[in-house]
This record gives sequence, structure tokens and C-alpha cells, in this order.
Amino acid sequence: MASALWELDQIDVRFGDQLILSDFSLRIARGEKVVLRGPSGCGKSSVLRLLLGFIQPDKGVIRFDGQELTPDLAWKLRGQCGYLSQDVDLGPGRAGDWLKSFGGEAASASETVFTQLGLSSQIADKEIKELSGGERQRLAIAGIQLREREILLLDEPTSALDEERKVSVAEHFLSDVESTVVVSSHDPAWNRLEQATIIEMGKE
Amino acid sequence: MTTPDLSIASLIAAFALLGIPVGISLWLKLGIIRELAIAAVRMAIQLAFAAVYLTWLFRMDNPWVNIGWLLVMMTVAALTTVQKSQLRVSAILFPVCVATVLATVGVVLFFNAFIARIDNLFAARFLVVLGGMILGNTLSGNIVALTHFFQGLKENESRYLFRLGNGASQFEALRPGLREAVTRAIKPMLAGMATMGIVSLPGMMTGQILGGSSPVVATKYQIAIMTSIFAAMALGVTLAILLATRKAIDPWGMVRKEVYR
Repeated sequence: MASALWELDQIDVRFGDQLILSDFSLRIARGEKVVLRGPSGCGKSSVLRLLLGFIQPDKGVIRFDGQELTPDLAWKLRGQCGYLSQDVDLGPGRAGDWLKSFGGEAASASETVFTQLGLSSQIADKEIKELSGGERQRLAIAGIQLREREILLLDEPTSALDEERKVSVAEHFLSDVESTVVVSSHDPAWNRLEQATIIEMGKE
Repeated sequence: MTTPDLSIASLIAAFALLGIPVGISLWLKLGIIRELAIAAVRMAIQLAFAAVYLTWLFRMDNPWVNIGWLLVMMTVAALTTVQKSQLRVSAILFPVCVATVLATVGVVLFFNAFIARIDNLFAARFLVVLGGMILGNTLSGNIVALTHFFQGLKENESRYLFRLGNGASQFEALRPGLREAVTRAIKPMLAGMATMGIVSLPGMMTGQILGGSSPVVATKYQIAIMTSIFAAMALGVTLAILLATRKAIDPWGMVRKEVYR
């Protein structure tokens, strides 16, 4: 069995009076593709936030590379991550400028990624605020693809895409990349592939 | 040339001018008469107090007293900034105090040493008066910058987390918000500088000319004071935000909820 990259051990997460995660455990191996599934509000996004150290558990332990997650370790691991949040907000400015600052040198290879994602190269000249939700999501995915990070954490990455695009994006992240990928999605496009470990959440 | 003193009758005549806004308020039902009356009375009392303490300070001209007075002004400025910024006093009072002191004292001493080139760097005429002008501007800049910065961080949490989750350092993730807040704070002054002398004659310069200085000397002082105020303001607001974030953000990079009121 591959060595664990992340281990979540008997985690409880509470927001106010609401128990979001109860006694939740998860083991993610390096290179593994994990899809967290379940209805909205079941804690899928919270798991991704726990992995990044954005929230801390009320009970239980998180380990990364065998060490208990501390603030210093969280900053280090974020440096290896590509993270797409559910309500992706890329800020103001032109799409092309965002891609250049986010992707760095890799941005020069954006044409291939744009074609894969069905994005027109003219999008680079548009203001981000003028883009549709789907275009914005694809632009963010393009940026994350270009950076080729070792770990990808994707929160509802295909929620604003059409059916055909959902499948191709899911196939790309679950089959074509060598990175460790953790996806939170209730989209069926993500559980068609055998390569993924499906974690059903929100069930007793 | 000396400035003729204003008699009580002259001051009454000056207050009589407020009859114009009162008339407009009555006609347009602006509802500002009570507010105007309070503001006018406060202004008169506060400036009368300023006249008393400035006369006293100028007469004493003791460096320690001058520094002490400047410290009192800076503390009041820092407290006012925090109270008006809709942020919790305990969370950001200390950073704002430090930023205000560093920016004000640093620029005032530079002005005294290298611009005015006076022997006594702590002379009341320069330290207290210039310090007051700088504080007034830094204060308004700090209120705008801190409120905008922390409000922006709250409203754009998703954008901030996106940057952190993609490996940005703390500073890289905060930089866009910092840039926006500092720009917003200094923009009005930039606009004022650009039109100064054409659209408006600044109060300090007008006062100096009325006080008997030549327009050339008054202009030179105005230029030096504007650059000093602008430098102190830019330094003060940037430092205030950077120091405040050290206290307002936890070691994981998350904004502490208790920062907001």
C-alpha cells in the first residue's frame, strides 16, 4: 500500500451548534485520486479546508507526510497545492493578466489548455468580471492545469460547466495527471472512472 | 506686515455667515441645523482650547513637554482611527499607535532637520504644529485604509483563500487588498495636490500669507508640508495595515473573527 500523504483521524468539525463532520477518518495516498461525494452541507468543502489548514478540527488529528499538521507545515503544503474553491473568485483585472500572474512562465502554454477546455484565446483580453460563471471556472481550471502542482484540491470544479465539458475535465484530472487529486463534487461526471476512490459522505 | 487681530464683533460677523447654510437648510429641509450648531460650537471651543495650549507651549518651548504633547495627540489620533474603523479596539489599537508614531515622528523630524533646518528639532512651532497637520491627514487615511482593507478581506474571503490554497505567501495573498486600501486612502490627497494653487489655495498657505509671510515663502512651505503630509500618510497607512494584520491574522493565515465588531 502506498504511503499516506494525508491522514484524517476521527475528526469532528463544528460550526456553532452544527456538527459538520463527526468521527470522520480519511487516508489519502500520494498520487491517489479521491472524490468526495454527498449532498450539499455534508462537509465535503470542509474536508478540503481541513486538508489545507484553513479550519482546525474540534477533535481528532490531521497528519501530512506523517507529521501532525501545524501552521508551518500548512504553509509548506499549500506551496505544493493547486486549489480551486467552490465559489471561485479571481479578483478584478483582465483574464490574460490574471493567467500570466497566476501561471507565471507556464502561461505561455495556455493555448493548448484553452483548446482542451473549449476556451477562446480572445478571452485573455476580457475583463474577469465580464466572464460567465462557466468561463471563469474554466479559466481557473486552466491556471491550475498550467501550474502542474503535485497536489490538486478541487471544490465543485465543474459546477458551472456543460455536461460534455464536465466529463472531459473529470477525465483529465482523474486519468491524465500524476498529481494527488482530491475532488469535492456531487456531479456524476466524477464517479464514472475506476481510477478514483469514491468517498460517500453524509450517510449514516 | 502684521495681521490685524479679529475683534469679538468680527468673530460674531464670521458666525453670522452660517446664517446662509441655516437658511438653505430651512428652505430645503436638510435637517442639519442641530448638527451645524453642535459642530460650530465644538469648533469654537476646541480652537479656543488650541489657542490656549499653543500659546502655553510656545511660551514654554520645552522639548520634553512638546514631545509629550505630540504623544498625546498621536494617542488620541490612534484611538479615533480605531473607533471609527468599525474594528475591535483591542485588536488593532497597538499596531495603529505604532504606525502613527513612526510615520509622524519620522517625517516631522526629517522636516525639521533637512527641510526647515532648525537647530532645535523639538521646537513647539514645528513639532506640535506640523505634527498636528500630519496627524490630521494620517488619521483620515488610516480610517479609510483600515476599514477598506478589513472589510475587503471579509467580503473577498474566497479570493484570499484561493490565493493561499495555491501557495501564495501571507504577504502575496494580502497584497492586492493592501494595494487597494492604500490607494483609496491616498487618492483624495493626490487629487488635491494636483489641483492645488489653481482650484484651491490651501488653508495653511493662506494663513501664512495673512500672517505676514510673502507668497513665495508661503508657497515653499506649502510644497514642503504637502510632500511631508503625503509621505507620512502613505507610510502611516501602509504600516498600520501591515502591523494590524500581524495581530488580526492567526498563524494558519486565517483572519481572526474577533477583529470585527
